[in-house]
Amino acid sequence: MVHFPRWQIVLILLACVLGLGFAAPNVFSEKQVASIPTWLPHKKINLGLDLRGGSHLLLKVDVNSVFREHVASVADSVRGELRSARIRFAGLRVEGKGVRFRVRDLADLEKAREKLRSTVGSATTGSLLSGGGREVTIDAGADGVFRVTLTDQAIRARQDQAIEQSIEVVRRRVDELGTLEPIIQRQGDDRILLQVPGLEDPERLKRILGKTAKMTFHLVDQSEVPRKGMRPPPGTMLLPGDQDENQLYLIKKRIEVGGEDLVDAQPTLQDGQAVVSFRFNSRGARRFGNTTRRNVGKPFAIVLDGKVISAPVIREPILGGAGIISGGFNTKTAGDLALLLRAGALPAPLEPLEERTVGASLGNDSIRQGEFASIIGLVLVIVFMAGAYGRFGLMANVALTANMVLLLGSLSLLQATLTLPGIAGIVLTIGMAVDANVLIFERIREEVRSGRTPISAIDAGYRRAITTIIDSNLTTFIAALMLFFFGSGPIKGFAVTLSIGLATSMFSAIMITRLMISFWLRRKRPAALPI
Amino acid sequence: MALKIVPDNINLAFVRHRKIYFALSAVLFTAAVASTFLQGLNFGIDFKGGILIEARNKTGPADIGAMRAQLNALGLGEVSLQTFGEPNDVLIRVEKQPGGEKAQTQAIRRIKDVFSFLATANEVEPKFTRGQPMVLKGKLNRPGTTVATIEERIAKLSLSGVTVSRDAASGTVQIVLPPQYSSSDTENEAIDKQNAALTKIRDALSIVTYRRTEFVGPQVGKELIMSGVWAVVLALFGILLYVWFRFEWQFSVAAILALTHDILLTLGFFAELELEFNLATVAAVLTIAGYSINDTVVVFDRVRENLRKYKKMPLPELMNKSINETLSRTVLTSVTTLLAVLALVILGGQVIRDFSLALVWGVIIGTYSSICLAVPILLYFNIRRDTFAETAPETEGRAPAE
Repeated sequence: MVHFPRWQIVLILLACVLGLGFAAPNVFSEKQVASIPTWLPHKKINLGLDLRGGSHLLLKVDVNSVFREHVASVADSVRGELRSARIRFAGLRVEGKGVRFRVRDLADLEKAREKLRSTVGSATTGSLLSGGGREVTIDAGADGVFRVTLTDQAIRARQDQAIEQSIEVVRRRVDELGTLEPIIQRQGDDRILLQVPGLEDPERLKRILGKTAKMTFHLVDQSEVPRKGMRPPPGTMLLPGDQDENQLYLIKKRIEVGGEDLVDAQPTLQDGQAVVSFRFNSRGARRFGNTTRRNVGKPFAIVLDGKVISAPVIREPILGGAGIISGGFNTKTAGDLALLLRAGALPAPLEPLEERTVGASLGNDSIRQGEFASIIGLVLVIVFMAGAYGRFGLMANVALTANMVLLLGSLSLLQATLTLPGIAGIVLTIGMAVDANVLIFERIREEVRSGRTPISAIDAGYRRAITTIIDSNLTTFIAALMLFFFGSGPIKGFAVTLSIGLATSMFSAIMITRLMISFWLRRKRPAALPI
Repeated sequence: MALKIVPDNINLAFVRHRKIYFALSAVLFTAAVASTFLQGLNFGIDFKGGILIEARNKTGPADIGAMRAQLNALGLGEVSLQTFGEPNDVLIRVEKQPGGEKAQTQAIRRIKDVFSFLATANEVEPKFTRGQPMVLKGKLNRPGTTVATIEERIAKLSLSGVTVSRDAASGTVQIVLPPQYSSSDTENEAIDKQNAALTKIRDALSIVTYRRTEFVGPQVGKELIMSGVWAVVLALFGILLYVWFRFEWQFSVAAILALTHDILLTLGFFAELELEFNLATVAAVLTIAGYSINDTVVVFDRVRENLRKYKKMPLPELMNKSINETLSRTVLTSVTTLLAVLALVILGGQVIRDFSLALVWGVIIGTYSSICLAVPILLYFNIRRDTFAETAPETEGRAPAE
């Protein structure tokens, strides 16, 4: 226990140096940190919203409305297919997870079944790239009553998609707020967590989120070459590209089809090429069919929030209401475009469940007070330890200071979020970190009392105290782990600092103090321990 | 040379006086349970939903009475105000408003109107359009406010070209804020600058600055309670398993009894002092559990060691010896932890004061329960000495390496 192999010494010192290196950026200003070369540690501790100020919004996606729309679109398709096949039916209505209706003439039963099976019934859930199961099941009774029911898998897939889409819409809209860097995460089944550091007026954010984005399909005016600053001919407008602001398009103002008629868009493979397939509802299909029939060979622009996403050329009339956009996509860009097409408008209303805004002034006060409390706590503990254990206490204090450096270094390295309760966790760690050393020193005292020589007492003291240290720290760690899994936001931050603090304090008490004692023993070879 | 806080050969009769401690704990426990259930916990908005606003009065101490009267006049149901830390900081709590999220947002806007010279809650919000001025509309608010009051306050902001006018017929005041960005700014930079200017104006027109605004819906509150309860229950269960695995079932039952005692006493502490019970409190409770079990395990460790060492010593004596042998460590660690946590209570700021107070309380009762409850409780379970004898008694110190 008293002897250290050379490699261990090297590792311990290395850990301390690394800790110092990773903790170092925190003492510099943002500007200075920006000038640190990237091969050096250059990350500061990531402050939570409660310390840096900003808005936190927990939004709920109304999946029920997604479901209602989903069923309604099935009803729409069924009605359309039956009409196009001239099958007379009655009592078509939404029931449970699907629709039911009755064919008027039982002679049409097989015809209706075949028609539905080959159209509505052949649709699959999700994208073709990821595969998927049937969208609906079709049951027909001998009495002519049909039930077209959405599969659970289809409902689930549509809701998942609605949430992904909502996240994309939220991201696009938050970008309108300026140069803020939002954090947007999916949480649980139907929630979106939105954190915007630096935003102190969430009212604006909520207004923007509540607005409906507008997606429209237009014809492109080819009578003039678009150029910056030109006066667009009457009935047209000059719009920038979505990806490249300098790419300009001259677009006819007349809306051919509105995005509200688009029911789906998916990335797909066609002849080995990534393309985006899309589908309109019956109204959109009719309008889209008319437009494409009359304009084969001309470009057709998809405009989202005043920017042109893409302007593909119409190759042939698209009459079925479903089409494909091709144009040099890879699977990623095709996926993005499909998402954008779906993301035109929010698929479902967003309801804020929770909203917390902290002003930068409060955040700054919290940091200042937290720092001050930590430093005073540290000083008090250091003075107390020096008083209680003399020379050994000083060594424990060096280890305690090293522990703080390691803790700050780990937090910076892991980019864990430091919250106000997290600072409390650090202060608590300061108090509890010396526990391991106290255990060891008390044990050494006991061994000295029972008549051992200094080296033997230190050796036995360490050896016997270690099981206790591990037992007691592991049980505390269990509590911290539960906090991490069940806590939210700031509390998670507390659990993180507490757990990292446990680890670094064990390391510093067991390794660093012991190393110092070992050096001291070798140099002084004391006859009695000053403990 | 070092100061000894606890004398070397201390021998206090913890185990002999256990009945006194049990009685004391029983009384405290009953009081805590009664307080928790009769008085009830003062749930924060985390758990019951509602609105919380922390505002700082710009001109010295806040007049809570006047503020309360003004807010009550809004008819938002239960409104509570208290100073928070400093005399010019006010914490406003408003119960959840009936109606959806819009009702909460509107309530927040109306509360903010109360403290502003310009009431804007019922007006259309200013909109950003590149190259166009932003227009903030509202009605004069607060006694004695004139257009001149507003002009005077805005003039201090050194924004260029802001005009204030009042429509005599409708009484609507209109503040026109011309673009505060240059044409070379990108769209986002322009939005940033314009919004910053608007925020400045709003701030200048208010007698307070807002430090925190929170709203929690009741649904989230219920889930937060559930996850809090789960965290505590699973932590206890995890600790139970670990102690069982490392010691014996008797030890883990004794530890859990002591922990339950600590947790309930902490709840009672919150109920009795009417401290706010929020998410941070759950964290405090779990931390206390972690600290207390840490303490308990240290003493248990010594009991186990002594069980191996002194095969003939009567159990009460053996346990008392174990407590006394570790007493110095228990006291020292409690003192260092208390020092750190007290620094947090006194200097850490109002936002985490309740949390820090709970930790102080927890360190005290955690230490007490480890010594005076957990170990004496062990006596009532039939500890079989032979379970520990299987492990070979510790060999007398391997020869030191040097």
